[in-house]
Amino acid sequence: MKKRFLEDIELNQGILHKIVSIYENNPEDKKDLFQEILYQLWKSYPGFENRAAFSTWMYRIALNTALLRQRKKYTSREINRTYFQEKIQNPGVEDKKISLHMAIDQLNRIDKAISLLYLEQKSYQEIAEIMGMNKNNIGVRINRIKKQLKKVLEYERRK
Amino acid sequence: MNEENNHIDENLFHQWQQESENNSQQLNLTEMEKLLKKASSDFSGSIKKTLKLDMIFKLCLMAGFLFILFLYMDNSFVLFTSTLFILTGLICLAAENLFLKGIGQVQSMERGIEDLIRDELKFYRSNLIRYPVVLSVSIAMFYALGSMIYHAVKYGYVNPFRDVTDVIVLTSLMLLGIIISMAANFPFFRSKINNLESLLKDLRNEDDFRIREREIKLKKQITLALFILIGAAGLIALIYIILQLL
Repeated sequence: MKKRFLEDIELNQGILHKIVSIYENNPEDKKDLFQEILYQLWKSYPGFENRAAFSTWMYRIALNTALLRQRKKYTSREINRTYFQEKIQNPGVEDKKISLHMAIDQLNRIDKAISLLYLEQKSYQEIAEIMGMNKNNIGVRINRIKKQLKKVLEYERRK
Repeated sequence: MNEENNHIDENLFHQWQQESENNSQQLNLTEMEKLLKKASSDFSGSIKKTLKLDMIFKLCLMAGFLFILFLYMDNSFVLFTSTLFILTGLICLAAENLFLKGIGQVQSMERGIEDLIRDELKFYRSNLIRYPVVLSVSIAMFYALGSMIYHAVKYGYVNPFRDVTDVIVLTSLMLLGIIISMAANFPFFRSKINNLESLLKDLRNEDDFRIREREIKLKKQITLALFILIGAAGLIALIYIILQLL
């Protein structure tokens, strides 16, 4: 069973790396989170029973693990928010390319999960199923997330 | 507007794909198997480890109390203290066992995030005091057993401590140890609850505006009602004073 589990994970590990990259910036923290997600997936694997698609099941457990993880005192969100505030007030501040990852970092933890699923081109129904949330709520949140991300992209284009 | 939205979507998807390709890394089966051998490093994993170690520690202490009770059964202080701590130890072990089972149940990651947060919050809130107390009892047990063993080894007997002052001092020291230990364990637990509450706020983000609006409206109504009451009371008081003067 372990061999089959690891083979399934190996095929779908891209999902895990993407989740890890939006919740952690530090390489050591990314490794810790990846290991924790792997542990939780293995713990839940006996109950999987092919009730849903493997990737759907994997998304749910991986995102729940990342969301419930204890937040560190100074998160990258605080650091990036400070950077954005500085940019608005002092355009002369050293320029860094504003990536989509940095823009997503401005969102709260739940919105980060939803934005990841949206950017992976999951339907609203799939996102609602993975998150265990209402589909209408997902739609409203995605519209708000798009507006926030658009602001950042427009700023980058204007430079 | 729809065209603009589709354009935004395409830009975002394209940029996401590019960034993901740049950041991509792959682990092989051997590397993943190595990671899988490690234990859980998250909060509940740490608590489980602490609890299991504490349970082993308590069992060792209870064995120590049984041993010293066997040696000094005619000593009333030893009899009372050992019996008390063995019974307390058994109750604490039962509580810790229940707690371990509880953690396993609430941590089923296959559920929706809202259910997970609510269940974990309920569990940790209900154990906020219980968990530090149960852990702290080990300090008192260790102190009591250590004192008795030291006395027995150094003087060949255990002081029965019949003097009230001795009992008060010893009990106070043990209680102090418990309080200090609780104070050390409490923030660890509290931080988990704070994290969950913050996550719940993130989840309710969509409702925040409506909740705030309702709160502001209610606050205004309460302020108005208070203003009317105070105004009316003031007016009545004024009329009464005027009538009294007349």
